[in-house]
Amino acid sequence: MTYSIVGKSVPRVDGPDKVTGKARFATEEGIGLPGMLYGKVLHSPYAHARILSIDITRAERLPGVVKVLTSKDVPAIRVGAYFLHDRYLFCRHTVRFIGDPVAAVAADTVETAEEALDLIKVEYEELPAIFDPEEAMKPDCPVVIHPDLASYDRPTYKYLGEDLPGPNVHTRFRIRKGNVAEGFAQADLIVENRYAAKRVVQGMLEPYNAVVSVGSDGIITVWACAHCMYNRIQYIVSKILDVPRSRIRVRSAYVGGNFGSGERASRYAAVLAMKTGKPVKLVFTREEVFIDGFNRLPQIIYIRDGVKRDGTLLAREVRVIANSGAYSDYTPLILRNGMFCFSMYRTPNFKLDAYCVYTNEPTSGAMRGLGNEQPINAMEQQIDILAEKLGLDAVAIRQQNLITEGEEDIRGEITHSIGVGECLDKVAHWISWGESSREPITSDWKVGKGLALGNKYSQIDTAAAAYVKVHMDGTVELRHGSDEVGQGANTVLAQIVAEQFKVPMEKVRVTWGDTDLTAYDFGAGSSGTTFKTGNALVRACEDAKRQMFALAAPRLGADPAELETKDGKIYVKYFPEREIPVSDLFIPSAPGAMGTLMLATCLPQGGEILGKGTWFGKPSTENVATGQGKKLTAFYGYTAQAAEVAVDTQTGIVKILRFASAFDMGQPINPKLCEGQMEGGMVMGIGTALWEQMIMDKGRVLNPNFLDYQMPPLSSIPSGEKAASFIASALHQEGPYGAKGVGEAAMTAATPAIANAVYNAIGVRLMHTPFNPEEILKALQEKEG
Amino acid sequence: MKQVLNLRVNGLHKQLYVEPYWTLDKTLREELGLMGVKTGCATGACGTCTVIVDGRAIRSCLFPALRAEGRDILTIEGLQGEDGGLHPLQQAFIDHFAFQCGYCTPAMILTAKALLDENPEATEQEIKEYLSGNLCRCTGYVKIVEAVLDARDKMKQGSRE
Repeated sequence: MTYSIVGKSVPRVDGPDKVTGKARFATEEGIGLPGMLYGKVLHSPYAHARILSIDITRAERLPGVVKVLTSKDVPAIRVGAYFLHDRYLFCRHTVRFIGDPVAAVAADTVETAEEALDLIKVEYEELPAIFDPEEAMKPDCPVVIHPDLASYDRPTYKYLGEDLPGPNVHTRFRIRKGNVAEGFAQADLIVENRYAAKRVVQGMLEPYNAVVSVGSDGIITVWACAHCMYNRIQYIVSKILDVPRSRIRVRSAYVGGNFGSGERASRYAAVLAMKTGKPVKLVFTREEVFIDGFNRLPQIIYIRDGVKRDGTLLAREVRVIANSGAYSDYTPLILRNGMFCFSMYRTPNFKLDAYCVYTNEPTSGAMRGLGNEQPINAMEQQIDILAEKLGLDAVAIRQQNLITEGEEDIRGEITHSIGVGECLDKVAHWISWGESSREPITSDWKVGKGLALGNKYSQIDTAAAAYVKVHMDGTVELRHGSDEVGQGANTVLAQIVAEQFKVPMEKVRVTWGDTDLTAYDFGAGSSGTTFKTGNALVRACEDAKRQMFALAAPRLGADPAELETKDGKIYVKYFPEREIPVSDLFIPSAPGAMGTLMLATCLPQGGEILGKGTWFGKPSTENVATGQGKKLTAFYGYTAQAAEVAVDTQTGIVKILRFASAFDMGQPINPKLCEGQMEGGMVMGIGTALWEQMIMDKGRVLNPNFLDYQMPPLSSIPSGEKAASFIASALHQEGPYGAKGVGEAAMTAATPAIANAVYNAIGVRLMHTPFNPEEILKALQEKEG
Repeated sequence: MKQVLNLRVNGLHKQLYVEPYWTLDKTLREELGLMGVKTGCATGACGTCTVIVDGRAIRSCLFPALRAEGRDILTIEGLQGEDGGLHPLQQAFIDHFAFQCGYCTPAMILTAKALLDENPEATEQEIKEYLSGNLCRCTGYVKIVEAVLDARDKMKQGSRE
């Protein structure tokens, strides 16, 4: 089906703002605000310690300091994400990681606030700490990080906290399908391996920051680099201040990237603003974002696969141990949902046990995905290993085992809209799969090719609501509560509205980033804004059109069902010459009456043409013992990625020579934006595969800055004809115009594709990310014995 | 104690009073309201604070404000095309979708301008190397390279006409 604006790469609506420096981010808010204070947080220097005393008197006496807060000044409320409330705003008796907040200061300048932190004297008694999740999960682990875990509040997903095998395990998730013992008994080949993924950081360039002010009416306004205004910011601030959500207005303009990192500044700015009565701005340093953010959940994955000689996958058994760090935040959900990746292959017998374990490391979280790229690395290297051992082709074995439309996956869900096979064909063709790589550059450099698949479900138990207002001149204004984190939400949503009203993009206005003006939205998570907010908007458009047609029908002498709109006009479907401009609706029904001019911009009835719409996910029940259910996801996006690499066997350096991605996001609303997601995913994938890791030493991050933590620079990545992006759409019956989502899955296959290419080049398997020169040389030495 | 600072910013003479420890990024943002100057890491590693000082792209987060005495500063707010509209680099960034979140974009555009002023014939490889000090976490850089190449060609054409 062809559309006038959907499916077209119209320019981004935020272009003029972003290329001229006019785009406002939360970091710009508050500058120049009279009386504004600056906040700073004091972090624990110990990985695990008891707090014996805190002396704030010297800090309080420092000129310019307005407030010093510790746990004594705030209610003893534990908060967290929706799953497990395990964290106080300020540590009360115990610090659990290097970086755990102990106190906060508000002062007239940032420098004074920083100086005051040095004057706070905290006496600690160091406790034994634990950093290895496999040690921490043992039932008899001598270090217990949350002795009161059993009494903590679990507002949702309570079953994830049942039947825990050790005192530091906070989440357990199971999937059971068929009988793996029988499956393995029938297998001709069984392959078992251990994979691991290190702690990495999202690396968004805008650091966590917020400005909070409290009005004389008690309304708390939070400006934040908000990812999920309602879901994360408003929810947490409401909990820690014990103020209803109706009193909290969250504002957020453009967000300088997020990638699942959430936000940590607003809660401290909020409590400082409440206690001082002044606006407070709080910006995390880059080091603070590293140590007190929510970096990607490290996972250890044991995987055992049984196949028939012809390549048919019979049984798969998976055990995952994830390192949650000192607190849980989103990790219960990350652990559960990350495992949905295994639904990509038809697996009659499947068993999975996943555990999330507390350690005395920084708190873990999501990064461009929800714990899925780590198991995908395992899954997609396994299938290459199986193919090689069976003498089968790596593309063919995947195509043979991929789940297809209408089949039941490992969780009992009937799958729909699966374009992954087409993605695979596209990248395999581009990289000339089956033909060997070109000659090595020198004798030390070896060249190889690899490919892999990836996927990402979208969370179903969420919702989005949106407004559409039709203005008198025919301009259609959409109001959404999702986030413009750079993905192009405003552009895509404006395209959907332009398509609905058959108006050019210039006639669509976007209002966002303010909970007073928009309706509830889950936020830009789970690759879901196009699907969820988009669906809500389609319904809001239909509602607005219904209102518009009801007003127009008597004037056009037609039934509302016979009306259509285009270019700011309303017309009768089969007699398009019978039309009136939208502005006519705003003229009172009794022209010539007194006061006509004053009424001229108002509708005669109904107030405004204001359409409202909601998308609400409708999950089925889930069997908590087996993880089985009929409807557990909103949709799956799929990718295939292929890499050609050169490896220097002398230094262990890997160069990416060529890279391709293909993606099934359903109907692409704006293909160029989809390409941008694939390219961004490629580079983030290359970085996390080859270089990126937070280097940890007994709970301390040794490289909490962009000099020592290496994100990919431009010189290291393929561009021009060396990088390719393809779209392979499998339309989704519930998506707006058949759209699904793109974003998270865009990096999921990069790591195994590169690992498979390195294997192809030098014959060594790298199962622990990142595949840095050290790992590669070590593996080469082991191979040579 | 604050000291006087005289400089030219986006073509206008400015006199300011700044603390000796203030950096140029903070001064431009907070004293002159030039919010297109961003701070990403404050250690000179990410490049989002790049501005042009006397024709050279510098990291304003490491540049003491007082060192700007008598110098000529260009921020994104002062960048424009010959007709007063968008500069070819700005237009190319829009045309090629060469930004996403936009946080690194002002610095990326200014760094590319410094390069093309210095070397109007810059090759793809030279562009990639010159811009390597500016991190972008969203775009994957591919479209940034396309945009700079396109702007380079249009600027060459423009200077011939």
